[in-house]
Amino acid sequence: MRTRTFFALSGPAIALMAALLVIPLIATIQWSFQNVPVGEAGVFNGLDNYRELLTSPRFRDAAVFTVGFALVVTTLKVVLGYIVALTLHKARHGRAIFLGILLATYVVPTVVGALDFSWLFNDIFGGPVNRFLDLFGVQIDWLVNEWPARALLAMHMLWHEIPFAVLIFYAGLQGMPDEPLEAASLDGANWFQKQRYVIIPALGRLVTFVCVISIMDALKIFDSIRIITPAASQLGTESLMTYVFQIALNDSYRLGIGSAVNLLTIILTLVLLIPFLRSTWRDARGIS
Amino acid sequence: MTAVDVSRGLLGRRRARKDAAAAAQQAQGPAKGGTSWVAFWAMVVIALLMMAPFIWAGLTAVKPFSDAFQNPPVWSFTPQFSAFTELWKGTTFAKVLGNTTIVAIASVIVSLLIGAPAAYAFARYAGRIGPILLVLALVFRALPRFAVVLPFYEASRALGIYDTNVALVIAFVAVNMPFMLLLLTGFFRELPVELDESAMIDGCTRLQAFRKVIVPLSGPGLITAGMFAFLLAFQEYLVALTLTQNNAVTIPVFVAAQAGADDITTFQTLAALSLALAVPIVLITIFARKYFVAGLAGGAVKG
Repeated sequence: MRTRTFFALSGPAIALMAALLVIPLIATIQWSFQNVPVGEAGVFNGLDNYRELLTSPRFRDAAVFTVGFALVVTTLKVVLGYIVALTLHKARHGRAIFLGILLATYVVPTVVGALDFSWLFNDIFGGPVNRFLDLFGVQIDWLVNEWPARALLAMHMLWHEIPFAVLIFYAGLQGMPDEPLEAASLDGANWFQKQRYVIIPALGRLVTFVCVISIMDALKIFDSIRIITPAASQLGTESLMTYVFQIALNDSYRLGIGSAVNLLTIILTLVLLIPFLRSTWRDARGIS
Repeated sequence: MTAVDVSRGLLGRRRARKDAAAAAQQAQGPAKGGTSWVAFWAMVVIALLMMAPFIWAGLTAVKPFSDAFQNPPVWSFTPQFSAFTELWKGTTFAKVLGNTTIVAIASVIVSLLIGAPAAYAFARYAGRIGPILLVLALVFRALPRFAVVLPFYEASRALGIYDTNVALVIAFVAVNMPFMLLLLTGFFRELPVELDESAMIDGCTRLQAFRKVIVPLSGPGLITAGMFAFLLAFQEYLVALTLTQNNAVTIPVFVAAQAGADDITTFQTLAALSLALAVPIVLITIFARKYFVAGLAGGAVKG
């Protein structure tokens, strides 16, 4: 294909992305060094936004919570997703149907899923999970205290996103050749040894991939917090993105400082992804 | 870039002229009878647990009002459907649903019209600029939505399109474009180059070859991409929340507002609403599973 044809066909999409993704991103960078009240032009204020954020306990709490949340959820997602994928791979019947059912929770709008999920823990709706815990004499006020609320959010995110990890790992398991496993069996490897030395190394790239996607998504957590713990800032479940919403669009209309949070979030995302990007880089260069 | 490489690797393994789902359906002889039955029943339990929130919301929706909010829960009741009538007649749900559907359809059409030719160009162009642009597009997958949506908010107010469907369609198309390009580029790469070459030897222009030969052969890819673009209007909360107030409100914003009302009488309507949305989506994912699998594994960067 000639370069002219290439640009003729892809021009509209490139122009669209330049106008609606690149330019807004540049505006965000610019705003982060400005004081921008809604509807007015920004006034340059140097590093004031960043200085205010980095000394604000509210921002620090939101950042610590968001990063901790992303790391915990990602770890659990990989482990549980791998276990479910193994189970699915072994199941005798109906694997396609099971996959469809799992994917439904991933596709249902997050807002709706979060609402329905939280009802299981809400006594107003009969709270079936609480009734189950009653059997063991355990009582938890999910929506009143910090750690139970955080646990609830984490459980929701796992429920919502594990299917994605399952799908990826399952596809990897299906695509694995039988020979290495047979060879391992002949050498007398037990189940754990086969997992540890044959299957997990073969799925390594997929694990990296799921981690990257998961960290990116968890750092952006917004919908479920707005639904499950609307009073997030008092409950200790405020994430970076719900903080942006409050500060830029809800409580106050400070687009400049909201943009600075966005930029710090981008930097944080990059920092957390460095180990994974490095392993991909080494993969790509054939060193391991 | 990680995601491209890995998703390509994933697709590559599936490349034997079948998409991921067809391969997934292909039974690989389960090893030993015993464990595979255990695994089967474990999956039944897992599937039930995953569906539990929808089942519970469904029960809440069809219980008589006096039973719906009992603690401990009431198990024997006569189902009734007044919550659905209330949802349809007593709230603005019908209008919101209509609105969301219009936005969804418009964004499917616009994003396919812009995205499909571009993806075809990316799939067939040998120059270096193609992959670079694709990777750049992918970077936007990692960015927080607010990084582009806050400026959208200002711009839509300045242009007088705040709280209109037009603003939503533009925003959805833009936000979805990187995913769409990646997904469709993958699909078009699967089609042999000889197809368009022979069409062009027969006198087609490049555009005609694309329209008359490639598009008709890319049904599954276009359906997958269109389906994800359609669903975005029903899924995306942050963008719609930022850009709408009353007129152009979409389903997620409506649901969140109802949930925030914190009034027990609206809870049952809300349960009916979540059932009305969850059931079609669960059915669609089960029956159109192969498109979802292809989309998630192939694009694998849905944001």
